[in-house]
Amino acid sequence: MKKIVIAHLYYDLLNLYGESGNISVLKYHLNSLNVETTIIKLTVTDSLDFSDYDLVYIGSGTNDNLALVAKHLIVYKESFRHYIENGGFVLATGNAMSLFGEYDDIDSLKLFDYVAINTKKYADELVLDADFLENKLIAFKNTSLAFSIKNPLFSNNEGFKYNNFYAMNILGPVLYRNPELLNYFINKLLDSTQNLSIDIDNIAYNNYMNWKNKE
Amino acid sequence: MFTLLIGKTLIFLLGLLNRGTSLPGDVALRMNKNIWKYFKITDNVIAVTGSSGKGSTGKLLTQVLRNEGYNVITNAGSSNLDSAVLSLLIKNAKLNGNVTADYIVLEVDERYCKHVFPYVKPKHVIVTNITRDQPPRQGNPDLVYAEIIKALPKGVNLILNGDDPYLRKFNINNEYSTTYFGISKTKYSYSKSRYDNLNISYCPYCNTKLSYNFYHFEATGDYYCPNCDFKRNDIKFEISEVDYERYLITLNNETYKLTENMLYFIYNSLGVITISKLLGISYASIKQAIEKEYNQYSHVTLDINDRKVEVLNNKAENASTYNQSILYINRFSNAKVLVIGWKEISRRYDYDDLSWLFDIDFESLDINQIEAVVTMGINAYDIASRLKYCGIADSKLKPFIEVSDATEYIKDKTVSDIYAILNFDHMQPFINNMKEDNK
Repeated sequence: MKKIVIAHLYYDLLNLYGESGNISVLKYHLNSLNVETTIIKLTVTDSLDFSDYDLVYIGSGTNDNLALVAKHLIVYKESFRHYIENGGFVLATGNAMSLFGEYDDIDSLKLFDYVAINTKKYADELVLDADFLENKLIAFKNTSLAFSIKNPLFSNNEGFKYNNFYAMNILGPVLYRNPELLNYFINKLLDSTQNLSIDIDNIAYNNYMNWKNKE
Repeated sequence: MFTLLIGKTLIFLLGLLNRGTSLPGDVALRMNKNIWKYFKITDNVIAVTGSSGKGSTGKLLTQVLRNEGYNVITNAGSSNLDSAVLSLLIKNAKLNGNVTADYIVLEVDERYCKHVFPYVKPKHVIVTNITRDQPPRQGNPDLVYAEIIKALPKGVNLILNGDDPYLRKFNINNEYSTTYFGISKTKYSYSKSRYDNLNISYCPYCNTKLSYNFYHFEATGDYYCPNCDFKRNDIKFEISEVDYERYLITLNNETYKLTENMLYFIYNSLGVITISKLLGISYASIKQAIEKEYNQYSHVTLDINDRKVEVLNNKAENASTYNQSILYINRFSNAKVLVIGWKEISRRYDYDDLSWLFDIDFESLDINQIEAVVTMGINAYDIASRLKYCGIADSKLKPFIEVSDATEYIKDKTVSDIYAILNFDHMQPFINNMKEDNK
């Protein structure tokens, strides 16, 4: 039986905007596919060992909490880099993305060359394109960060990918609102081509697209 | 004075048409930005702000003061922006600017305190709570806190829930004269945290993870930092006993029989008791107001064909109050039909933000006791999908865009007692449809 270990990093600090929903969604579908899934909740009082994890998830947090987290994570910069170079999966959503690029306000890891800049707080609903997805992405934004990304993953200069490291300053939770992205991500994680039970998710997605496109 | 005349005329006309609480204020502000200076008002201004409970707290406090014989003007329960406060003054001012009132009780939106307090200076401010609420508009609690603290005038008296470590932040870098209220350990308190998404879990002084002797709800409880002196202390008004079954709370030797047996109601009442006692109000006036305080729209219980129907009014986008509704439902161990719905997530904007659904602890529901989950409105499928992710079988998820289809299904195809958590815009349609005779 296949096993997956998901490390939910800083679950008690980077815990805004219902982002833990991304974990709930992943766990549900992995279990449905008969994958033995373990979620390890880790925080600034824990030691991290990336060789134990198959997927690392980090969500959004307040500015203060983000700074606190960065101080803890930066100690692991090299093991994190090693993990990503070896194909380890990472999903970083919301302002967690700033931890891995360049962001002056915190001890960011500077593993990648995208830059986070402070902006006025803004909330918006976007619909984005991705060349690896057939359907558009429902992207909810609620942030005071803008990113300058050389090769963005999505349209509108959003998202970043390197190996199996995925980062996007997008809420939703993004996997809950986008069944196709969820499907893509799980199959990449499992290296498979399976169908997920996402009928209700698809109806919700289609309703959104039909009603919003009417405007 | 001219602006005041225009404002008063508007109020009169709108009063005839039976609408519009803040339009006169809006117009006045546009005509004359300095109009605030024109009014002569009492020092006895009490402002209530916070993520939830502002309106209820403001209205209850107003009733207490009136019971005691005071002349009180208030905007509590209606619009709470700066224009509404200004409208209140315009309505109650004589042409020379004198506002006759012994007390002014203001309900002010968290982000508008900075537009009101410099002009109508509160002597006392009650901050009910700071929680996740309307994410697209308010962002996160730290942003709300920043907005409130920058508006607080020097020398203000704060009335705060001492059970909430987050509210202690108001006195981190400064010292306001503060009165804390709280609830001691009750039979409902629990010892292990039930939520991962707390607004504060680390000491605001030294960043050590907080410990608790007990929790009441989310981050409220008896907290202490294992590393430094930060802890729940200095509770001047403490409820010693809570009995949900009998709707009773006890404070020192005084008991109050409440009309609602949920924690938010107790904290709102306690905030009012605290400020009232600080102002020297009699127990009789306080007790009379609290025991008569009843919001017919917030919690409705019906009996339909021998089935109990309980309908809780819950604002969308506020996970914290929603969690209380879930806790309430969890008190009942019988089989149930759960109903959730809204017409619009928000009246203020069009954003389709649903992230807050995952800040609600639906996972604490006893899945085996759920006969069906009926979801209603344009987001019926989104809500159903969210509930799928706490383990409820697809076959039990019943989404309906129309309320009438949902109620027809509930009446025809289900048998258990019904527990509905609805936005205000679904309350009446749902209740009316459920009451309609079965064919």
